[in-house]
Amino acid sequence: MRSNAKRHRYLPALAALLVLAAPVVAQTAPADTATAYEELLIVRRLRALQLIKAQAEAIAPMLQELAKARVRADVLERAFYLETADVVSTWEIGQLRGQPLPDDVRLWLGTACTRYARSRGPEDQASYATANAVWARLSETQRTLIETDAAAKVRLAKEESERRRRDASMRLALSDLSWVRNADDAQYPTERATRAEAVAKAIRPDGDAATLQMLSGRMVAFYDAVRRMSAVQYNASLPRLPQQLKYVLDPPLPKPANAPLMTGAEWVAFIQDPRTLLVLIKIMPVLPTEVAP
Amino acid sequence: MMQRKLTLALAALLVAAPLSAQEPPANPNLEEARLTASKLAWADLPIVRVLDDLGLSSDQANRLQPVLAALQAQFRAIDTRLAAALQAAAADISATNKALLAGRPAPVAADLARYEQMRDEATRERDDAVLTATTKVDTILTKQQRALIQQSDMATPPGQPKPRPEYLLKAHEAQAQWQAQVQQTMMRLLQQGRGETNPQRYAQLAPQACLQAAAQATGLAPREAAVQALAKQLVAGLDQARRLNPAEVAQRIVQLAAAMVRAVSDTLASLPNSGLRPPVLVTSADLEDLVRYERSPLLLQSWVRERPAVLIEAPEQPGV
Repeated sequence: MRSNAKRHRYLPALAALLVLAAPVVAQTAPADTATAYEELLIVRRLRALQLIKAQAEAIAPMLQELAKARVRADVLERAFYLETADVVSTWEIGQLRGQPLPDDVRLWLGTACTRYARSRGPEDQASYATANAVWARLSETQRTLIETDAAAKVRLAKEESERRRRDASMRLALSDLSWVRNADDAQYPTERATRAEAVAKAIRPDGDAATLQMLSGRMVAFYDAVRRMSAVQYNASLPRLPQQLKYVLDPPLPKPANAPLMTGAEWVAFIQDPRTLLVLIKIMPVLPTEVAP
Repeated sequence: MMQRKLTLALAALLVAAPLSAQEPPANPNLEEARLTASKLAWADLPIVRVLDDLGLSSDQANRLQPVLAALQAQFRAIDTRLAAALQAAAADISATNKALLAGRPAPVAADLARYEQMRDEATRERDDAVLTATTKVDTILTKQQRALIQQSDMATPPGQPKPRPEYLLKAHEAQAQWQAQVQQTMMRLLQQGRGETNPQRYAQLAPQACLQAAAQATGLAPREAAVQALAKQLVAGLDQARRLNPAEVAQRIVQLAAAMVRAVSDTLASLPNSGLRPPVLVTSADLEDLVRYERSPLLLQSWVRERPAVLIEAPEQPGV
């Protein structure tokens, strides 16, 4: 078995090469504070993963493969953008003018797009396989820190549904404001609760009675506050009312304690980033040889 | 051994990558400019698509433009504040980086903590600004446009990924084909209209030809009120085309055809679930993309400038 010193004999050379070589390293050198901060995020993530040395050594060549694949993908992408530069401008102008792309141009562009998608296919598949190999090297505990694709899909769908519902209920509530300001004193106390309940139901159609009551209570308080404003106060507050309403209907929640360290998309970008390999090599000497108890 | 292999392979990669990219271009600056322009155009396309699918009028675009420009100004102000906080945290970032890379615990870093707190706040601030802007945008949209967004939301499962640029053409193929087909019909109609030299014959035949074209393009019966209204707009297009002088025909006739396609599109948009046009979907997420997109204010200006000519219907003359 080699000693640690011997095992890492080539690491400084590797790091030096990374720093000297272009263009990958152009993205890796902490040339300014923003880049240094991005590098810090990488260091933190790698530390948070609590990799052991054996894992890092096994993963490093895979990250190298991914970095290579990313360079190749960047080259293909660049060629695609350059190849289609003129046609896409024509397409954009045509779309602004309401003119369809001529058939021959559409055919040419379609062929260029298909060719590019096909050329990316094997690269993407190979990268996917390598990313899976990296994933396979992680322990169960480490995997829980990364959101799976399936979980990400569910989360994104949930977030968008909630946003759609929030926007719909906000539209409803904002359309109530002129009524809130102008309703007569006899009508207002009885009807405001009905309107508030409608808004609560719009944002939480499946909410239980307690949740709906809580939300409509908050809406009533909001309506009352808006009604109490003087004309001057109301006009001054108008630009901020949508934000205030958002906090009433959808207050920001603290990040849950079990929130993943990275989403699936962030994980893929993380392992494809050549700087991750660079940082991994840098921290390799200080990684533990065993999992901490 | 493994590290040596890794070193050599990585060195080969890093040296080979730029070589494999391409032959050095004749003018690197020109190539970079082309690359940037192409990337921007690809990024613009889905946003222009939203404007087109919504059927945004020039007046609406003129009202939207300052709202979105103000939002971008707000974004820039947030970015400037953040950049200053990041700069102030430079020493902390460097010290924390060094400590973590050396396997030591992160030092106390007040400036870094402040920057990261500001970053979180900035995300919320941006979301709030988008929300306020979207509320204003909402008041600019028509009832039909809002209904289209609502219907699209119901028809689209939430959380769908956006197509990558190379799939954009395919994603809108059916729509593009429909548009090309209607454009051809309108061009033929315009050429026929211009070709009729006898004014009386033109006055007799044009309304019937336009009614047929309107029915054909919409897939609706000629007796439908919407088809008859559309036919009137098409006649207006034909009238305008006949007044063109030879010098402007080539350019203006294409614009008029585009305006007539737009008229067909607007007619179908006001009649959901009818006609031959493939379904148009503009979700609230698409609208938010438009609101957030950095170049939207610029695109709205272009939209007003490049928008097809307006079909001006001649006032009805009594007894004609």
